[in-house]
Amino acid sequence: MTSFFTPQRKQQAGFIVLGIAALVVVMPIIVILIYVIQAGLPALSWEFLSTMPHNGMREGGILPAILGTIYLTLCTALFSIPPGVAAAIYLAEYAPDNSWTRAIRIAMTNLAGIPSVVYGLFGLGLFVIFLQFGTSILSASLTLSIMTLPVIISTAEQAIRAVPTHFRTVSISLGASRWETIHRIILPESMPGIITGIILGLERAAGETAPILFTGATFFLPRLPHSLMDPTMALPYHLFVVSTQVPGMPVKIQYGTVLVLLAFVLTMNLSAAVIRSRARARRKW
Amino acid sequence: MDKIVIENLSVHYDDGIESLKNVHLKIKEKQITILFGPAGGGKSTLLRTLNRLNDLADLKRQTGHVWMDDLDILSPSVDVTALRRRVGMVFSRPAPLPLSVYENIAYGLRVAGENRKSKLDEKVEQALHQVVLWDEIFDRLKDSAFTLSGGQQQRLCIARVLALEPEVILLDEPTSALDPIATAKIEATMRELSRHLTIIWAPHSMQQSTRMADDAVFFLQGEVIEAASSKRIFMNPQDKRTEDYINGRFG
Amino acid sequence: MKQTNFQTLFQPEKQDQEESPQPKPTDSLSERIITLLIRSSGYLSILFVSLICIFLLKEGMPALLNVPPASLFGMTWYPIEGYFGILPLILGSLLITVSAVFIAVIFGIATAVFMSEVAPNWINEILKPLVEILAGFPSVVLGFIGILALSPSLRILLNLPTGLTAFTGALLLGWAAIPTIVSVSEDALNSVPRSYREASLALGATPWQTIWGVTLQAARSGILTGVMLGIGRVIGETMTVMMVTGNAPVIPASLDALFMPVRTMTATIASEMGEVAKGSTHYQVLFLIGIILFLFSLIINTVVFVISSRRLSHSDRLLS
Repeated sequence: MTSFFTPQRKQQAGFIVLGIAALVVVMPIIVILIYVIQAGLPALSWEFLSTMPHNGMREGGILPAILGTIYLTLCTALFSIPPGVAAAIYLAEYAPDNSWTRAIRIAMTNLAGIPSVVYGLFGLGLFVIFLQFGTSILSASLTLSIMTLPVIISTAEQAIRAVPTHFRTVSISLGASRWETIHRIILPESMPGIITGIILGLERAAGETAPILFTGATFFLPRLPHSLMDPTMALPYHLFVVSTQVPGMPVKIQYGTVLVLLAFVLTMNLSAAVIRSRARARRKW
Repeated sequence: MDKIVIENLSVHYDDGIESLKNVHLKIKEKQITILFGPAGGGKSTLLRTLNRLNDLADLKRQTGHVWMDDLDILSPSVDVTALRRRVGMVFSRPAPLPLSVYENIAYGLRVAGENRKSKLDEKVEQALHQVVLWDEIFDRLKDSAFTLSGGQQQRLCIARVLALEPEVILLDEPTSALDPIATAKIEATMRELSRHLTIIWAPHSMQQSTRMADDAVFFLQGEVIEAASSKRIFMNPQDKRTEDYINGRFG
Repeated sequence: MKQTNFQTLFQPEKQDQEESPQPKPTDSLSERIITLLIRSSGYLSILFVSLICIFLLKEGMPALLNVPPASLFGMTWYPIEGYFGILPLILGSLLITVSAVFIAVIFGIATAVFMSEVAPNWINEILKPLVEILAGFPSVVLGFIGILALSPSLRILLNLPTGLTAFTGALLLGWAAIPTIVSVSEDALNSVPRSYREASLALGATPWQTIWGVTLQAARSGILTGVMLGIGRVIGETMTVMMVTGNAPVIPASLDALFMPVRTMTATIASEMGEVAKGSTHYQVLFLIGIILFLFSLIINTVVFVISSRRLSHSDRLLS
C-alpha cells in the first residue's frame, strides 16, 4: 500500500518550504528598501545634503556627516590599499608552502573575524592614546584600514591566483623577471577582481560605527574638520545619534539620514558588482 | 660544430623523481635535433633545463654541466634573463599573453629594455614575416592575440621568440594541439629557420620525428639510449629498445 | 561578505598542475626593494593580530589586579557603584548569540539549499543580489529598523512591556547573519561534484532525497565553516544590539529572559567607553571584556581555519 506521502509529494512540500524560507529572508529587504526610499526621499533636498545641522540637529542638513564619511573612506583606502595589494601579491606569488605562510593565513582569518568594537578598543589603545594621535580622522581611518585589510588581501589574492599560471611561465621564458611579470601581466589582468575587493572592503568601512566610536567620531562638530588630526562626524554614527540620542528628532531627518547612508553603501555594492560582471564578460581566457 | 654540449646532467625533483640520469649529449648548431621517446622520458625536463625554466620547479638536485659556446648555462652566476633571450621556447599549447598581437611580439623586447617605437615596429614586422603570418594579420596587430586561430596563435608564439633573435629555439610538442594544415606550416617555418638557428624539438608523434629530424636522440626513463643522425637512427637503430619504440611495439 | 572570500582566507586551492614560477633573483636594485616591500607586507596580518593582542592586554589586564575575582564574576554590573560583575554581560551575549544563530542556521541553510539545488536560474538572478544587499546593510541601519519597525510590532504582537528585548536582537542579528551563511554554504554546495548527485539519482532517489542524503553531507564542512563564521559575526555585533536589546545588564534566568531586555558585552563597551576616565578601573574592565570577546573570536576563527583546511585535504583524497 502506498502512503499519501510519496517521495514526490514530500519533495514538492520540501521545495515549497525551502522557497518560503528564502522568501522570508528576502522579502523584508525589498520592503525596507521601498519604505526607506519612500519615507526618506522627501527629506532629501539640496539643503539637506549640503548644510550644517542646527537646533541640536533637528533641522538643517547632514553635510558634516557626509563629508566625514567620505574623508574616512578615502583615508582608509589610502592606508589599506597599498599594503593589502602588496600582501596579496606576496601570498599569491612569493609565499612558500610552509608554517610561516600558514601562520599568516590564520592571522588573516582572525583579523577578519574580530568584532568591530574590539577594533575600536585597539584603535583607542594604539592610535589615540599610545601614539597620541587623539580622537581624529587619522586614528579612525588607521583603525578602519586594519579592519579592511583582510578583505582586500583575500579578494586580491583570489583575483591574482585566477590568472592562469601559463602566462607566468611564458613571460619568464621570454626573459622577464618575476616583478616584471607581475606588473606587466598579472596585475593588469587581476585588476577588476582587486578593485571589486577594495570596493567591498571600503563599503564595510564606510558603514561601521563601533571602530570609529572612540577613535574619531564625534557627536557634534560646529565646523567641518580641517585636518587629519581633527575629529569628525560620520554617517553611521550620525544615524545612531539621530535615532537614539536626540529627543524630538523629526522622523523625516532620521529617514533621510538612513537613505543617504544606504545609498552610499549600496552604490559601492552596485559598482563592485558591475565591475565584476563586466570583467568576466570581457575576459578572453 | 656543436652548439650545446651536455655533460653528466642529472636532475632530481623534490618528490623523488629522477628526471634525468647522467645525460651526455652534443647538439650540433644550425640544424634540427629531435628528442623522441615515450612520455616521462625526460625530454621536457631537458628542454626546460636548457633555458633554466627548470628553476621554477621544485628541484632537489641538479648536477652536471651544460655548455653553450663557452658558457656553463647551469652556473649560478649566469644571467638567466639574458639566457632566455638567447634560448627561446615554444610550448605545446599556443600560449599568447593577454595582450594585443603586436604587444605579444614586442613583450620580450620591452622587457629587455627596448621601447623605441620604430625599433619595435621593425622587429615585430620582421618576426611576423619569418613565420609567414604578416600577410594574414598585418591589419589586426592591435587586436587581442586570442582572436587568432590556434595555428596562427602558435605561429605568433614562435614570432614572439624570434623577435628576440635567439640562437637556439626549444620546442615542446608545439603542434600537438593543431590541425594538419597548421602543423605543416609550422614545420615548414622551422625547417627554414634551421638554416640559421639551432632547433631542439620534442615532437608528439613518431611521424613528425622522422619528418623533421636532422639528428635524433631517443630518451627512455630519463636516460639517453641512443643519439645519431636521423638516417642512422631511424633506418638502423643500434639499441633494441630504440628499435621497438620506433616500430610502435611500445609507447 | 562576498562569495569565496572566506575560502581564500583559509587556504586557496592549488591551481593547475604547472609549477609556480620563482626564479632566482638576478634583479636590479629597484626590483629588490619592491620585492622586500612585498615580502614585508605579507607578514602584516601577523603583526596586526599581535598588536591587537598586546594592546588589549596592556589596557585590560590591570583590571584583574584591581577588581577581586569574586566581584568580577559576580552577578551585578553597576560600575557607578563599583560592581563589575561581567557574568550578566557574557550571558546576555550568549543568549542572543545562541538564539540568533538558531534562526540564522535554519533560514540560512534553507536559503542556500534553495538557491543552489532547487531554484531555477532566473530566481537566483534575483535572490543573489538581494542577499548581497542584505550583506551590505550597516549594523546601525539594522538597529534603526529594529527601533522603528520591529520592536513596536513585537511589543504589540507578543504583548510585552517593551519591544527592546533579547528576542528582537536575536531576530535582527539572525537575519543579518544569513548572507554570511548563505554565501559560504552555497559555495560549498556548488562545489559538490556533479557525479555524487548523478550517482544518487541513478539509484532511484528523488532530488530531494539526494539533497539531504548526499549533497548536504558532502558539503558538510563548508556549511559548518559558514555557520561558524555566522556565529562570529553575531557575537561581534555591536550597534544593532545596542539599539534594540534594551541594555539592561541582568542575568537571563529563565526562558522568559528571551523576551526581556538584556545587555551584551559589545553593547557595554560601546555605550560606556565614551564616558569613562582613561585608566580608571571601569576603563580597564571594559578592555577586559574586549579581551574576552577577542578570545571568543580567536577560538571561533581558529576552528574555522582548521575545518576548512581539513576540508580541502579531505576533498583531495576523495577525488583521487
